[in-house]
Amino acid sequence: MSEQSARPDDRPVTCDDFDASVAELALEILDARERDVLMTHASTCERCTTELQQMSAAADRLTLLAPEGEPPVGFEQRVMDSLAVRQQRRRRSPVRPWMSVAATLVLFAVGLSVGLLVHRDSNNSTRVTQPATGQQPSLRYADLVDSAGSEHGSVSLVAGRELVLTMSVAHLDQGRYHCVVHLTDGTTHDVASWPVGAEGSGIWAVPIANTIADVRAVSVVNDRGLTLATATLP
Amino acid sequence: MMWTSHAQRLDDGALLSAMALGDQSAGEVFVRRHQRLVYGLAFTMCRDNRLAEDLSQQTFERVWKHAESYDPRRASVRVWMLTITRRLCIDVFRANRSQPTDPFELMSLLPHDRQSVEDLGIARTEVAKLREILAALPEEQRRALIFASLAGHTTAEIARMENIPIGTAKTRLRTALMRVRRELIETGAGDV
Repeated sequence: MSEQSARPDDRPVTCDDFDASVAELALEILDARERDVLMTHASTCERCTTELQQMSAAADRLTLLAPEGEPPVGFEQRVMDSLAVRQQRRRRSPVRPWMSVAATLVLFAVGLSVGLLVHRDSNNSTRVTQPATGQQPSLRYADLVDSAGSEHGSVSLVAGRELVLTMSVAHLDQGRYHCVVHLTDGTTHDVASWPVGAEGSGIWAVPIANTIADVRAVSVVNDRGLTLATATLP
Repeated sequence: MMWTSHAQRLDDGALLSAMALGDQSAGEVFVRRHQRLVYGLAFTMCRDNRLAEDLSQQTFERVWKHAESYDPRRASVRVWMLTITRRLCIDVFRANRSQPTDPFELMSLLPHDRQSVEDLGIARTEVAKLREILAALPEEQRRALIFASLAGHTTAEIARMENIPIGTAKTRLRTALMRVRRELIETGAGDV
């Protein structure tokens, strides 16, 4: 046992032992052995898991206190070069199936704790918009604005291997909302719905089966069919 | 470029989503937006320009690689990203650090103005609140917390620096972090 150990012997970790070291665990300054012992306890103790999550959230926030610093000249370009190499490796790897991308987005959305993506494609087909080699995917963006001109979030469309719509909302009442896409051919499609909690905000992403040029606007509509705000894409 | 300028308007969550899909432009905007923040933390922790640059680059590579697994329930994008930086720094410390960061130098670095483009007002509010909470801590608790969080010092190292028993250092850390947690929750700043 390290000199930081909360326990004088090898008896099983109790919640009191856990409490004595949870700050160090949250701050990640324990050695691997002691961390493992405490994490083993947490894995079987809901109370201590919650305690660790809350302490970790507080500890992680402290990183915001560090002063900003000016990186050396050329840093940004070096990072981008490095990321470009990584991206090229990805492109050479087999194309991920549609569901993999969808699952990724669902994870992203579920992570926001307020909704599960519901993809309801009007024709049950998925058209993948694969950019040509060397061609960058396109992106469109617009703010969600209500009839009074107030902003309620934003909508972005990213055309990568397929078209993905990301909607962030704010200042909404608690309830269920629908994401309605208006196409240039005049049709509208309810592509997703989700609950908004008491906080009135959230971010969701959903793959849609259209090209980026097909989309004219995107609205957020409440469960009674009332359009609350619309993002008209430039 | 047209769509780079669009990406500049995206919030961090949307940028991460685009990065997860391989959008180079989103990555470019993300790096430009956060490089000072990441480099600042890395340099604060390791006090070495070259190492700070390497760690900052690794941070962005990991952000890109793990963009899909970002969980907004746990932390804001900034906090998630800086936690990656911090972990990388601590890994390096564990491997080869010989000289602890000067605690007084570290403490003097803390007052600063945050200039991130993204959510400028929110960031300032959040940082101001954190500074306020830390300022209300007893001096010895504040030092212990900063040494651990921003310098990656272990409890044993803090005990040696402060010339106190390890048990006392543990208690200071725990009491301080519990108070920060409580204040963040009570003021609503604990919400993501």
